[in-house]
Amino acid sequence: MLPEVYFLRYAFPCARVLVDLRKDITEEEFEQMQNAVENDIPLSRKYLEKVFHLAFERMKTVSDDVWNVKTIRKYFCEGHEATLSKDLPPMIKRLCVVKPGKLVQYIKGCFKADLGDGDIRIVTALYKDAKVGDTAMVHYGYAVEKVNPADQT
Amino acid sequence: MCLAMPGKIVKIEGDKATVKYPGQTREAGIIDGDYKVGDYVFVSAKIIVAKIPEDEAKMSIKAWEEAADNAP
Repeated sequence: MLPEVYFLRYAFPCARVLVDLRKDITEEEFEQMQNAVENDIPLSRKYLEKVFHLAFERMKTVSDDVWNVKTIRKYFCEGHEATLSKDLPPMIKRLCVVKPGKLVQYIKGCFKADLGDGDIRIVTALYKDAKVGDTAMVHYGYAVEKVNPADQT
Repeated sequence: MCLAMPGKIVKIEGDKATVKYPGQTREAGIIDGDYKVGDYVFVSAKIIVAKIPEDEAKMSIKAWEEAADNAP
């Protein structure tokens, strides 16, 4: 998969912050980004780096070779949590952390995801052919990609 | 810092909720779960993702507003 497509899947769940808080992107740009992530349309690395500059800076601390699937995954699944403020209320921190969850029910185009410890969410799948029984990496309200549950210890 | 923003449900009609944020309201679909007016929730892709305890929601909104004040 293109790093441009893969990166956006992991980063997009945070994109609302860019509209509402940082005012880095407009509502129209947000909608274009949503269309891109839903349809696997690659946005340029230059654009993504401009918009998600914090993620890019932090990815560089994970590996010198930033632009590949492995580094992107390592940053979001392992490095992202350490960048969150210690003062965040627990439920909010849960939403921001990327972690595996099991898709337990299909409801009206969405999935109910069980992330353990009573954390049940309604998520939108960003990958094709998502189905009940999948274990997926969940970021905020999105199932980002299917993973092998045996790898998630 | 990444910060998810909770909103407060101010109206429910069928499976549509009106969720209030500082300075604006947004519509969000209720897919599953028991929600009532006054609940604090997270919304993404115009869908309510999860409920959040009121005290945590208020802390988060305060943090959000402070962060917004400090944004360059």
